[in-house]
Amino acid sequence: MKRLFFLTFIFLFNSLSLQAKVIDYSAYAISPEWIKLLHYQKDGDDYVGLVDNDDFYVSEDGRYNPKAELEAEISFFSDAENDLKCSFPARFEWLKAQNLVTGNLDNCSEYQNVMKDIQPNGVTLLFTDSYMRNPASLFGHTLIRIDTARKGTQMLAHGVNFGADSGADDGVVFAFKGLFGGYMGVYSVSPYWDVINAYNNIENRDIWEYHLNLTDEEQKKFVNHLYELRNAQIQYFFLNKNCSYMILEILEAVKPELELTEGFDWWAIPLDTLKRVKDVPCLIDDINYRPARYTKLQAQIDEMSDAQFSAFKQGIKEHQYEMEGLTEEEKVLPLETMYQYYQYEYTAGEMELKEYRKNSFAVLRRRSKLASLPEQKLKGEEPSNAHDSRQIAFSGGENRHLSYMEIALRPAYTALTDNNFGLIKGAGLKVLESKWRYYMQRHRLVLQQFTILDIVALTPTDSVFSPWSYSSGLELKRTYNSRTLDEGTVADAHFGMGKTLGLADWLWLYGILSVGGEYGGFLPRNQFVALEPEIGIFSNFERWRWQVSAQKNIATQDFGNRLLYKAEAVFDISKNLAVVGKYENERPEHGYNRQEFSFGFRYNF
Amino acid sequence: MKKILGAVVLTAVMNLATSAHAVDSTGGCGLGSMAWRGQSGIIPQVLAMTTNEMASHTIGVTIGTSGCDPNGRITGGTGRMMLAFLEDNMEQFAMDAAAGKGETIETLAGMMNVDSETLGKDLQNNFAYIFDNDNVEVADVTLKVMEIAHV
Repeated sequence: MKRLFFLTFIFLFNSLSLQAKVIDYSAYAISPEWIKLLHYQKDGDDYVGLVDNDDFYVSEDGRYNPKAELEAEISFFSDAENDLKCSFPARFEWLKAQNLVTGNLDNCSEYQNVMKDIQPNGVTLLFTDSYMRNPASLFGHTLIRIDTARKGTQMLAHGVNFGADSGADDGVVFAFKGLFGGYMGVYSVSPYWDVINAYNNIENRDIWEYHLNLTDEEQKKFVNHLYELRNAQIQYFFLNKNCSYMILEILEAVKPELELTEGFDWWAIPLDTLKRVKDVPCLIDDINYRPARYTKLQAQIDEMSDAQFSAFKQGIKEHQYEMEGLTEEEKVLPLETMYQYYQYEYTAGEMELKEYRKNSFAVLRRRSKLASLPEQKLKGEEPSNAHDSRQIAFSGGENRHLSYMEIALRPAYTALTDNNFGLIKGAGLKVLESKWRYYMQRHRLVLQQFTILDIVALTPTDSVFSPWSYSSGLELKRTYNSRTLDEGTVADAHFGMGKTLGLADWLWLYGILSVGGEYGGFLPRNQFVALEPEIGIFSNFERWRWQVSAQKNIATQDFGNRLLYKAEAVFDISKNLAVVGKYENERPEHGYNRQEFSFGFRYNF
Repeated sequence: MKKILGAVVLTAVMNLATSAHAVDSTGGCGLGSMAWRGQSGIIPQVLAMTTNEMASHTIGVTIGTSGCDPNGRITGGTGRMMLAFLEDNMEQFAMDAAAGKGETIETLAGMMNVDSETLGKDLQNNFAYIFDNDNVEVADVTLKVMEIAHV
């Protein structure tokens, strides 16, 4: 209501002042519509435009002065001879709606050509899920699809992606520059079929499509604004000025009444930004799931009967596709699965091009002689229903008969034993987790553990694929000297690979061989390196998850030689709340053993 | 040791950064159908043919080796669009043609303005004709699809 008054006020004000031929544009210049459309950000009492290239703001002072920019644009856009308005259709339309300029965009040939190609008909937010087997990609990625009115399907729509223009950089250089703003972020456009191929088929990532419920006016503004941003350069920061943050900026420019970017000052995890959009009532009106090739392949393998599966195995091994013993209808699934399998193998670099083509066509020629079957629509776990990213955990326990209370904080993201709905099963990614422990008898507060990064990915091998499982971590932690029973802090790093065997869907057996090392003044001779073979069981059954493991460390120093048994059980009370029980038994080669148990709860927010 | 720790941190961060935010700075052209690339030599001739044989199609734009517009947009008339689409989606199209239905067939039917169910059946029946050898050219396939759809 306040807003209405405000608008009425500026309207009246405007009509009055028009008569006087002296217009004060201040109210327009600080309206949220203008501020957000030009991506001004408050800096104390001043404004700074987020976009770095000068021509995004037409006035000389435009990047720092919304009012000067507004006045300059009104004067340029009012000049029928000046085609500057063609570069800024969303601004032009908004100023026109405020009766500040007149005219139209009919003679803007480039703009009209783009619209003719794109034929916009809606906007969809895309979330691409994690890579299979790569928990480092758990954060996901977001991009925009401009839906099309073209006849056919949305394969003919266009994807719009914001990313760092990194040139040929990769690896460490890319990471470093990406983290510290060394790149310019730019928008790129590609046919949606390219997006599908890139994510679904090459990287094997599921795509989730969230159709945005926008009015015709808002849709037009959205597309026009993307057009304005086509040459924009924005300093790219991997953590907070990334693909997902920029999508929120655009959504706010289109719907200035939304406050979507708030709270993403330090980091913007793609899945968190998706949740933010989904939390706006009625903003998303349709959700569509587009499973990755690998997801489809797994589903097809699961769907096959035993007879079909052995025909499939024989087919990919001996390349013969007659499959005696199966009815014609039963042959369809194994044949289609074989084709998917060949494509997967080729893309993964496991099959030569010539062989791939020969096998593919042989399979498909056989397939084409059989009738069509109704398509199975796969259901995925919608990622925005995953638990929230931040976690706080409270627990109480006893370590070497000393009782303690502990509080643990983690900004992101998930542990192996956390609720994994909507995330990868068997994957954990912990970033900057700190555990503070207070020992009651001794009245002592210690930093028990500080994890910089901890990644684990258990991926079960099955009868078709045999992927590796991984475990790696880097942390500071408290450790004890088994001879003297002193405690101190050490740095610990490890990396390991192994295999996981799925005894059942809910019961996995794994073995991982890690190389690790510890370093710190507390240790005798400061450091040691160790081989750390570990075997364990991980179970994920309805609301329960538990893990038991045994690890033997063979170190370059006696001090590091030990056996470590661990057990952990977690029960979900709700999506974000779980109770946890833990037990640890450490048996060093020399000195005293250590036992610890604790009980507590975890809450995600 | 500090150096090692530093290297581990960097490697870890690098792993995070590249996998979550790997960026394609080429503008997104030509990611699809890697297996079918590298054989587009006859495309200009085919475009000439299609223009001659089927005058109703406007394929006035010169085309590079890839069917993708340098700005990453879908553009041009039916012939050019089909060529670009089939070049990038041949793998899925081959599957759909063999099955007689699917998203790529619906898309092509939309481009040619024909019924997708009929097109699907016709493509399935003519699968061996369209893919008559293991090294088909995208341009050949495009022509045959047009022929089968009677456009």
